[in-house]
Amino acid sequence: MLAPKLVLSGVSRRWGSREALRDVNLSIEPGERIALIGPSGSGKTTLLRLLMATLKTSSGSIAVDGRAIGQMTPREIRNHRLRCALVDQGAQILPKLSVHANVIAGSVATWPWWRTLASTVLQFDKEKVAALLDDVGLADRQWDRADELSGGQRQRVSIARALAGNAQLLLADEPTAALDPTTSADVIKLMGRVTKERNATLVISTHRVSQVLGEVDRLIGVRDGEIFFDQASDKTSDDELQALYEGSRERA
Amino acid sequence: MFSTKRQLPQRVAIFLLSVLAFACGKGDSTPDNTIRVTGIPDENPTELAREFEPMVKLLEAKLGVPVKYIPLTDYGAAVQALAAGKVDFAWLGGFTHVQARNQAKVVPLVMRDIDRKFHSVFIVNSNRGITDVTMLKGKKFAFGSKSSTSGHLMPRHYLLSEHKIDPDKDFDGSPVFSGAHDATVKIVESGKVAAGALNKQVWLRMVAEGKVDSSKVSVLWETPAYVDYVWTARADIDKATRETFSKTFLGLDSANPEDKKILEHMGAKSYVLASPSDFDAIEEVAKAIGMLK
Amino acid sequence: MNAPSSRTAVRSASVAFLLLIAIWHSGFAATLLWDSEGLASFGDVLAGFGSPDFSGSFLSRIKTLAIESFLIGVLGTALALLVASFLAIAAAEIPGLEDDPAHSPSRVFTRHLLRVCARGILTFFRSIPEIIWAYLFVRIFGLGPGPAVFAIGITFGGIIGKLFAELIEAADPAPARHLRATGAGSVAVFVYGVLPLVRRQWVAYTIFRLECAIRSASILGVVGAGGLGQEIDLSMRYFQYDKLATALLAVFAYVVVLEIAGIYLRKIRPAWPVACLVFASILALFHLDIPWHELTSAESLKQAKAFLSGFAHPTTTWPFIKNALHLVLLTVSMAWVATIIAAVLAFVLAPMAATTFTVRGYLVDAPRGRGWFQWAFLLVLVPLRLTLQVTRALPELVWALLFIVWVGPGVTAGILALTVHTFGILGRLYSDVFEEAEPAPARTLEASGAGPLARYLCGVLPQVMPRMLAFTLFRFEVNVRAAAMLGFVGAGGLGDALHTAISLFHMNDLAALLLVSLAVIVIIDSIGDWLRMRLIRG
Repeated sequence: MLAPKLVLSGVSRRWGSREALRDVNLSIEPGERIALIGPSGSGKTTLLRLLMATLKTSSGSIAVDGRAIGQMTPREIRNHRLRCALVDQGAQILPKLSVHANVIAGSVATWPWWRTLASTVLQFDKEKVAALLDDVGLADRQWDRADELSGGQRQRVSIARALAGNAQLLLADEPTAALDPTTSADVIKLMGRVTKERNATLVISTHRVSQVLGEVDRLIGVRDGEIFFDQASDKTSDDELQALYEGSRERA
Repeated sequence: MFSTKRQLPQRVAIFLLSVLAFACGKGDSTPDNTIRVTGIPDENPTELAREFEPMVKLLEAKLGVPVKYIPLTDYGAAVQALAAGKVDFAWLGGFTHVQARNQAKVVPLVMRDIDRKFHSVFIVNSNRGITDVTMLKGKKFAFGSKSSTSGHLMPRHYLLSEHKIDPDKDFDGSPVFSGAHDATVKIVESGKVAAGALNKQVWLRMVAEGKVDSSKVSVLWETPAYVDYVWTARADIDKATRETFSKTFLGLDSANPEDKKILEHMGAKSYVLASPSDFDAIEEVAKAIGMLK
Repeated sequence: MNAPSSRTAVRSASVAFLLLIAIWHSGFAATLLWDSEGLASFGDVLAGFGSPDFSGSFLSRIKTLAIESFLIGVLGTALALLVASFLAIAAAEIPGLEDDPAHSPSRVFTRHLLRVCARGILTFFRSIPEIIWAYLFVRIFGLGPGPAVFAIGITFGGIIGKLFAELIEAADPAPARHLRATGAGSVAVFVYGVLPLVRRQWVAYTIFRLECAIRSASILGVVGAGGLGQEIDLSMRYFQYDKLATALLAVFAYVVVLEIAGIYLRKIRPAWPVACLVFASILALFHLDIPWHELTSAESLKQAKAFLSGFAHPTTTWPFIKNALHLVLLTVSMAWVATIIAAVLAFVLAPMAATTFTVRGYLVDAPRGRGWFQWAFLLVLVPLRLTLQVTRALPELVWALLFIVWVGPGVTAGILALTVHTFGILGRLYSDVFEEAEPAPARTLEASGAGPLARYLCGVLPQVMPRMLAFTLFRFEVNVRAAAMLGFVGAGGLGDALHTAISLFHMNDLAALLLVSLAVIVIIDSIGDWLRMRLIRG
């Protein structure tokens, strides 16, 4: 499966009277590697949710491979969500379940109902999960409880889950905010590696630009709900970054 | 102690509501000289109230004091009410009379002529093809109330002694207790049980009044005679009142059209005196089969 | 889904095995449901709903009875509150100083003895279903609302008292110790050191129980103790299904109104429900003809003595005890079968009734997609919710009476009645649990494209499973008591023997039956408490 091509045209999102995103025009090609940067509250999370089709747009439209989300049937929306995977600070962990179950959860959505039912008593795909966990560096934790893992390990579980579901669009929402510098660098590298291996699109939202520069080739600066700049990562100057953060309403 | 200013309006409200509630209260006033009568609820309450109405009127006329019928829906409650002095006279069955005399001082007064030689009938649902009492084994069976003489005690006794059927073991499951005689007829008619036993007089009356679907229910067997219903008084009612009460019933004459109506209503031709020894046999039976302990 | 799934498998297998044993032991025959005669008679009952008796005189009688039921429930709760407060204070260990020199050994001993006695009485009171008390009191005080009020006062007094005592013991002991240290007497310690700490919880719990008591009061009339139950019993016994339909509709309306009022009452400040309780109790005090003077009359004392002397000489012949044990076990089997079947049904159906799984979803303001089929769920949802509402609203005793019409008297009717009612209750409890669950996991799954089933099984269930099991277990304990009372209307089990013993004045038998069932209930409760503790602590 190829990663989706996403086209946002004139997308806005309001929460009550507050505008989280305003008139965003954006195009994301399959296999692109993007970092979303910008101060807190600038609209990064909202943008990620819109991309995953877990939030409605207030106006404008998002097309996935040419098909607008607003026109999709519930089945199509589910299929789109299936191609996406989210890694965040660790809230994605399913509590009280094993690491194995947490990884399997990525592919549960593709199963027929009877297989889902059966999975409550039987364990499927043990080898596949083991391989994925090995890939993300959690080889020996398959049968531990996921909610007892550390922050970095939780992210790895999320990544493994994304891989299990064969996600073509890996979205990361400030994945390293709660991690120490070494761990966070490892996690970002891991995401970069696995997406590259699979030709998947990667969108990371973060404040820590320096950490992601090595893994992405496009930077999108978001400020006050608008695209502030959108260019190749090696062309972005420190001044631009400075301006992105300093001119924000939040700071003012 | 826990009071705060905010709660004050609520306290005032509670107080006012309480006063209002007291004001809504009503006193209870029953004249003291009222004679209270009751009967065991062997039939449905509307039927019973209808049966007692002419008797209450008659008693009021003869006793010269108000008479009140107190409806009950439980046999034991009737026994208890008499024993506890909550009613003065009660129309009891043979077994309930024995229960009452084991709990308090009571005296039997009068009974209907038919009560001296009372019978129970065993009825069957016609669809079941039961032609003989022994065929009841392995079928579902219904008695009336657990405390009923003609609906439970005597049928149970005769099943054991005459047919060697133990109701607790030989039927399909435990026997069903319908609660009252007319309810037994209904439950047999509905086919819920194959057969049942009840008071013969209620059966005859229901047939006469067309309350039985004779294509569905028929009589299988009739028990031998025994002594049943009796008007029972508390022993501490003064003797004069008791005698007037007895005479009221003994004086009913089937030659008199008005009396005849009352008698017919009760399924009797006349009333006769009852004596304590009349119920010794029932007491024996009840003890023998473990209903009286 | 858990890794060591063999343990889950062993547990499920043992529950299934126990279920089969219990089905076999109780002689549960679901096939009776397809019995043509039974279906026909049940059809007659349903036909009654086609032409309910809405004649003016009957409706006004139903109205009177409904008001009577309500007042019985209120006054019963007020009485229960008195009973509970006294017993709870006696039963609870009010915190004191350690090694208080003021306490002589004899005083400590007396206090301890009092506590043990009060606890025993509380257990005794609440272990016997109110309908048994009601019937017993009907025998002592005669018909009318009095026995129902006393019965609720005693059973609910036991239930409320137990919790009151637990709350006292769970309260912070520091204030009471401080007061003790200043030399305050017992009353002062209680009033200033304990009561302020537990007052709020006491009020909240009383209001909750008030609702239960009012509901219960609607059916006690089945044994002649006043209220709506009388009419149900009579119309059922005499096959007057038009009247039955009206009476059942009345009970349903009664319970639904109560539930709505309950939701409202729990939202407002607790002072108002308390005010209503006080007001309605006083109203009830005057409106209902309660034989208070009978409580101390010589005759009642004689009856009470007869009842208690039964306990001095309970029937101990082996065949009788054997039979009693058999009946108690039968009752436990009935409760077990009913609880498990109901739990499985609720487990499957309750999530379908929850809109979060089916229609609404966990994501806030997410695109739903277009198409008619998302509304197809409503076809399941609406009837399902209605079913849950109806099964929950009608008490198990009413269901028992209905199933007796359908499958005939006996254990099967009892099990079916318990199953249906428990299904309604558990369905409600489960969906409450679903709603309280942390939504993040299910949201994650939904965001990754998972369907309703996966959301339920992987996102919600793992978090809430222990609580669902705990609720189910608790319901099983409740059902053991309920099963004992169903026998009163002919639905098999222990209740039938209790009914016989009471109605034939066999007080020694009654004592023996009550003692045996008390023992079993205490055992089951302690096992249940232990299991639930383990479940919740996980």
